[in-house]
Amino acid sequence: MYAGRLLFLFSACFTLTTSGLSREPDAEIKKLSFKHTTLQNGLEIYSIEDHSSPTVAVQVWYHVGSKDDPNRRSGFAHLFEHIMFKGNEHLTPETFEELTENVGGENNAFTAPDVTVYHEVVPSNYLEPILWAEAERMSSLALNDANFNSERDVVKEEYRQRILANPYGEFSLAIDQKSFAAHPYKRPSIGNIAELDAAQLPEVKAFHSTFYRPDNATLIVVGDFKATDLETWTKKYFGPITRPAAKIPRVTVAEPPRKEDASEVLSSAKAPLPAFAVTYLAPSVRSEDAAALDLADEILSGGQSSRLYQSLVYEQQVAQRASFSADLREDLGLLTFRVIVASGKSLPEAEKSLNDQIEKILKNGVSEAELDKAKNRFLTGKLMERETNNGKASALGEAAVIYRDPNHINTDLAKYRAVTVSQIKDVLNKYITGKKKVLIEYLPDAKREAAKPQEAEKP
Amino acid sequence: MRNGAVHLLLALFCFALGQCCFAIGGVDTAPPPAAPHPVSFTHPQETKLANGLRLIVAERPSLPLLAIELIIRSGSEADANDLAGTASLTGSLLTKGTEKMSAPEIANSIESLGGTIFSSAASDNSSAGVLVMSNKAEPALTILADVVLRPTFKQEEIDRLRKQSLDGLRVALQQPGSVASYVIGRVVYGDGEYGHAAGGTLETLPAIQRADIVKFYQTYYRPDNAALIFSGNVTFEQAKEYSQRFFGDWKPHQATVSPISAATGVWKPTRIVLDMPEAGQASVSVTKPAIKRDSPDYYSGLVANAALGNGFGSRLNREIRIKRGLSYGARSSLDIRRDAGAFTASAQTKNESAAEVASLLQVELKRMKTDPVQGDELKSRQALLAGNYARSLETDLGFASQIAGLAVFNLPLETLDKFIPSVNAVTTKDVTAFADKYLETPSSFVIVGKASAFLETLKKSFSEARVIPQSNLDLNRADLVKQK
Repeated sequence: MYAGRLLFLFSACFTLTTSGLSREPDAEIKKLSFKHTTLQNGLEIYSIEDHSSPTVAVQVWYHVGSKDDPNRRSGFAHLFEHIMFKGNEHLTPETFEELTENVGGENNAFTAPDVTVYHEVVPSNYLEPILWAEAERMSSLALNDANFNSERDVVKEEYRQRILANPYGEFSLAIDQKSFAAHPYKRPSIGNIAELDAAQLPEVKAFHSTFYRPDNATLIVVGDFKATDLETWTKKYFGPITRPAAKIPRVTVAEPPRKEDASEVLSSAKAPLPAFAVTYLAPSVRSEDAAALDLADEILSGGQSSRLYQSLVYEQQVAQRASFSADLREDLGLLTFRVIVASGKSLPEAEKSLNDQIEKILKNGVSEAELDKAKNRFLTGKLMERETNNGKASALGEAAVIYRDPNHINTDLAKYRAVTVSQIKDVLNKYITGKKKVLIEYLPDAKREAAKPQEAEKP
Repeated sequence: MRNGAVHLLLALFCFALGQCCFAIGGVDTAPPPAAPHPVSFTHPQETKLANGLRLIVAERPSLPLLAIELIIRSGSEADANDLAGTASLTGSLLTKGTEKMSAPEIANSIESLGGTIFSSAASDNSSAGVLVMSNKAEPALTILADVVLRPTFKQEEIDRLRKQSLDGLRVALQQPGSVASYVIGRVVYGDGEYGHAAGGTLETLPAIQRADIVKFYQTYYRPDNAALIFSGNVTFEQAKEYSQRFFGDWKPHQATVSPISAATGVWKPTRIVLDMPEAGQASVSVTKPAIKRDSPDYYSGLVANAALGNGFGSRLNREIRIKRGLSYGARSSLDIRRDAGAFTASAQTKNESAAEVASLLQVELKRMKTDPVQGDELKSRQALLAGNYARSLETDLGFASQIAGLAVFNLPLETLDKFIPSVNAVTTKDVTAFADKYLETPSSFVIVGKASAFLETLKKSFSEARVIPQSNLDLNRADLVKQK
């Protein structure tokens, strides 16, 4: 069964009630009716019909990410993502452009620690060809050294652009590297030049047959299509792909609890201002604590009225930037505080200010008004996500694959709404108080510091 | 009737892909596309308030969201060279305090509604806006009107923002790509009104006084130099009532002042290597003056630019990224302003290949004339532009920003509907004429990176490149070099 041509025909309504001062009528957010089917080969398909614009968003989520990089091949899953555009015996390296941007659509992909996602938006009359093309690259890749080598060079340039050309690129890389002791989350998705250079063509084929299989994939289709057409096409193109007998390998490494505080000092020839990060281990994104941690993230660093911006950036002016993230992943996560120190201030001053803020929230918790604000911001963000087919497809994919609960797109609001101020305080204490931290300091080179001209500013 | 949606039955998605890969038959070949479905989008409506404020409303009721943006048709081009950054500080300071609310109170009140407030300035415009759930329109408008009409520009806030801006600039000046964009502004616009950095420099930001900011505000922030845009879940009637209630009393501070007219100075091609010994990658650009907003070559310029450097399938990406693996992405852009404009083609590459990429960029510029953009290539870039345009109108903020792009240049709303047909009407001859007039002629180049890695190779092709050490860069001067 499917819901019918009108997206909101069978919709329920959620309202957000807040206990704060707001007296305007509560905003409504309508339930998204999605259809779910599983092909015999194990491919999961979720779809939402919406005819409000003549476009369709198509996403294929593979449950493989940079945490699955082969041994001594950091960056491999991401390199592989690039190779997926290079064709097979039926696809040319131009096929995805021909079926997307050349006809008014777009395509791209990203590799995260837990998943690799290929996404397109196409004019709706191009849905059938793009489904064919996605099925093709799921079934096989046919590669040659020339394609492989030039695409590896592209990925190395991506590394240089993101990491080496950015004064804080190496700082960002270091956070995962130093924060996880054993779990492969310690290896950055982008990898490194040496291990990218070491990758071989046969490893690409092995990676495809190990992870790129229908029972490790989720297809999301949102937009202007007829359900009967979608059913016909998915069966026709994805149906014949065989499900391998071998078991899909999964990361089983458990991250051990931290026994002591650790710190690392890195220096940079490029960074004009010192920076530091403080991390704590956090639970899985599927944990009961996830909603409260997300809201704590919002309270500490969402917007200019957030605690860290108000205290460190605005009032004390010790930070050029200050943020907190509840970076929750499939296996476990990190709570990460990140500060770039303002000029004229020292790293220890900024660190003390941050520690004061952490201590304050752990001891006194948060106010009802702050929590209401965080919930309202979450609701607005959710509405913005609903503005495009691609936004809805991303939310549905994340719900189905990351949360393993597609209905999460409709139930998350109630979960967030139910979080109380005492839960916020409790979860932060649970993962920070008495736990061991990792401190990463990133300092401008001493020789550059010495050569730095005097401050030019005056009022 | 001005209500409702305009349906555009477009040639947008209609073309077939030629002979390349679609055969009829089994699953081994791509199935052909179906017939296209029509595209439609809301037709905005407008009126003018008695005080001269232009009001534009796009009714988009599908979600309970609302974007409201106020634009001022003056920005950084109105800054004096030695006070560059005045417009930018003025714009950013709007949300940093009013007669009624402090900066933290403004941030807290809008964010408590679940909304966002933003204000800034760039060339030709300044703007302030909010995005909120539509049931919070009234409290959000109260805040927006307060920050636009009653900012206080407290010295304490000026000093704080100045310090933050300087720190942000210090970080930007360590990134080859952003250094290149500052240098390109000077290379194209020289000491003209568009030549100085919109956000100011390490030298000009400290020189700006409160009086300069107040003067900028009083001169340019006036209803007859502004437009108020609503995009989202609101009716035209309701928006008229809101704008009268919240902005109806807005009066200009002084007699009419027309937006400044920006001169571009005399341009001649130059070749600059900005030596950053620690750069982890080189930013390579080819740049030159191009078209202003009211140029008759506007749409042919967009199509030519798209063929050269928009999307994975563009010529620059095919040659530099896909064929040679020299960059994560090559692109070209038209920076189209009220009184002038620039064309830039650029790519970031490892320092060692900077000279090769500079040559490739030049070759591709020339090839735009000798190897005309036609057939499938032409159609594909028209479709790409139309598709990008249609997607930019999907969100309330995106729609507001397309309207703002017209209002800044005082263009009629019908321009919104003309975009796709005008792009589709561009012919091979038009693109070639554009290439002949703007691309094939000599260009400047700007390479920011570790010069020791590429200078020797570069000099084989371009002997006259001028090397400026990072420590000698002066963004306040058209020649970019610090005076001893």
